[in-house]
Amino acid sequence: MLITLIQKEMMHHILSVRFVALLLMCVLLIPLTLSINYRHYRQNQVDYQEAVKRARAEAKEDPPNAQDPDKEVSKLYLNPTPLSVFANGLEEALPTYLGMTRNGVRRGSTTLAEAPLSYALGHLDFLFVVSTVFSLLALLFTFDAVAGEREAGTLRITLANALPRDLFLWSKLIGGYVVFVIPFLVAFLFGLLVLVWQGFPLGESDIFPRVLSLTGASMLYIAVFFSIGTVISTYLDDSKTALIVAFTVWVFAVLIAPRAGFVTAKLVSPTRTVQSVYMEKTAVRNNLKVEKDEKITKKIIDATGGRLEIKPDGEDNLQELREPIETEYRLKFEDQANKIDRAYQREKARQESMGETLSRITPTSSLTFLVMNLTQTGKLRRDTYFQTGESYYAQLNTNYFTHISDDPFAQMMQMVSRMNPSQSNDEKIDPPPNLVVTPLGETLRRSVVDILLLCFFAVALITVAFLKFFGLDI
Amino acid sequence: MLVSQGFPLAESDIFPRVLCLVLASLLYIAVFFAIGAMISIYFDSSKTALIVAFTIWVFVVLILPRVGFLAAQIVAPTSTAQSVYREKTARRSELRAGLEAERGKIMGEVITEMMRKSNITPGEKPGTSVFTIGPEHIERMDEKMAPLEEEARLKYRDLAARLDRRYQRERKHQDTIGVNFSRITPTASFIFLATDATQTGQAKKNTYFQTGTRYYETLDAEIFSKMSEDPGAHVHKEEIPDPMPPPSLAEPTLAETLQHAALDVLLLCFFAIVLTTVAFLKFFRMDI
Repeated sequence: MLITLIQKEMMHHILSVRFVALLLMCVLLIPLTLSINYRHYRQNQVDYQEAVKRARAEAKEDPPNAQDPDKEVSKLYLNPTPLSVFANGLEEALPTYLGMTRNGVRRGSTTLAEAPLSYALGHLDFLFVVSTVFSLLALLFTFDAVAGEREAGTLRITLANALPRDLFLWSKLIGGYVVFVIPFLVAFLFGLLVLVWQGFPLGESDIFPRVLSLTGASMLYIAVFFSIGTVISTYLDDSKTALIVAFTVWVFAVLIAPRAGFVTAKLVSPTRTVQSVYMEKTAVRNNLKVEKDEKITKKIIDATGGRLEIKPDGEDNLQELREPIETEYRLKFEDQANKIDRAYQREKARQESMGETLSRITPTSSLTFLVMNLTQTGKLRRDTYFQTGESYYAQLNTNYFTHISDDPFAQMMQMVSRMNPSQSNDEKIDPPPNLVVTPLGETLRRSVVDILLLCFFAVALITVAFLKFFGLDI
Repeated sequence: MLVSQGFPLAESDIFPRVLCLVLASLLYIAVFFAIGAMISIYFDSSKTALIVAFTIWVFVVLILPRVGFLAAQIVAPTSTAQSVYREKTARRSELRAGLEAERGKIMGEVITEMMRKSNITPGEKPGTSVFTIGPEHIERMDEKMAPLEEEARLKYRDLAARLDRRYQRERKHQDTIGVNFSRITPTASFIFLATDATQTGQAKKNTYFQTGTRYYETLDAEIFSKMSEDPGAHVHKEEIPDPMPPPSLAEPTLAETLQHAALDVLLLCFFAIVLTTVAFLKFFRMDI
């Protein structure tokens, strides 16, 4: 019985206008976006390699003078991830590199600066197609599942037979979902073939399971919108009203609520900007520097009676006098800078977490966070990037920056030592580390809230639809 | 609400722009009214009409404006800023290497002359000879190098300008194609018009970059051109003036903005009129 009903439902959908719309979207959008985004990725990859090569060559040719506290002595570049062809995520919004200065980590420009006009019109990728276009199509497939039959009077006739209500609704859901998902999967498969033909490394052990998870997440999301459509259809008698309500719900769920979450968070818990934090730290360093210089000068003059001797071999005979004061002020600066950083990070993390939680009121946000994490273009990637930058900075601070002194006596010594070609500066700078890729298991563990939320939405809404349908007076 | 929060709505440059934004929004809504009316006339079933309307909306609002720039990337690909920089760096290195070779040659000539003056034949092994290169020798070398440096500087400047122009031309061409492709839908026209009216669009971008380029040209004429490409050259610091402060950004007037956005205004009017006309013509001939 169920199979017969499913077949009838499938035929009903296949012969309707919406199936044509679905086919059109699948065939046109999925392979096209994948193919174009792969070209874009390859371009980014070339740019990244060139930038890294150039930075290395420049550092070798002209070693940076780290005496200047704003000078970027080394750069940690963000390498583009191949999975960005599916979801661009934060990739273009992240700084292309993190510059290491004595004042802290400075962020480079973002790729977005290159394409401001197209940015105004939005980005087209697989995530956008699924989250926006396919969610609307899912509602178009289900808005009249019950309301349409009630309106036409066929529901009463059908249920007059010995047909349990749950079988009827299951057939509607399964039939519609199968008709929807098959063209989607075929188009996705075709898109993947196009990608592989262009050279995309789909077979790699880290990529294939992620693409598979991405497909699973997309199908779960479509299921959520199928259940939303079914709920609306069971609650309303008129299919036209159901369609208008479905569209309104879609506008709120897909276009407004995800954005509103972060806007609300900004209002509820505002934060300072990165620039203001950087300026605050610079001010602290400058204040401490003035204080320290005065102290060192006084100590050296007291100790030497004002007779200074600079040896041509660069040997620093005042080191013993300077060192304790320098250590004291370095620790003072580190302490104050850490306090500023921690306060800022706390503020940012609170605002972001609030925005994230508020926006999770809609399944679209959950899908977006999940897919971005799976494609390594999301929050996880961003956090890894900044954490790597911070640990690289800490490493440079210990091995390199702490040996640089600002007081005039030390500067003289460093100038003498720089003139000595055997003591090259660049040899002291550690190369930037590689960005660690979060394994799939860890990614799924970190995205478990989003997966559970999507499952919850699907199950809860289907339950609501069934309960309403069981109590429906037809 | 905005005014209560302190927004300067009454300012002479702001109020007309807000008015333009409202008019543009009304025009855009009119276009979608026309699309809706046309779909409604063409279909007998209101449900089918609604589904078709949503499908068209998805294409017109969500897909086509984004596809325009993607299509432009395929139709007119450009070299990247990185590759232009790479090419410029390579040519600069070539010129620097050339200058260094020339300096070496001139220095060789100076040393040969000094050896001649000291009665030493080149290639001879007479033991240790000490030469002092004094300021007069450096001055002579700088004198001989000056025309070569100037030549190299001009060569590099021409080349860099040519590369920049080529890159800008390519980018502009791609941008124009992208903008025109995306104008197939009224949404893109409305976005361009609204962003121009609010001074956050293409007009602002162009002004910003043009001001930057002009500032660079001034700095180049006053400062950069006085710096030598030759690492061995002695540059007198007093010859190079302090950099002048960056100019303030000139905001385009409303008339200029409207002139820039004329095509988008006309396109929105065109869509509204044509679609309404089509709807009327179909309705007049409809068999009811």
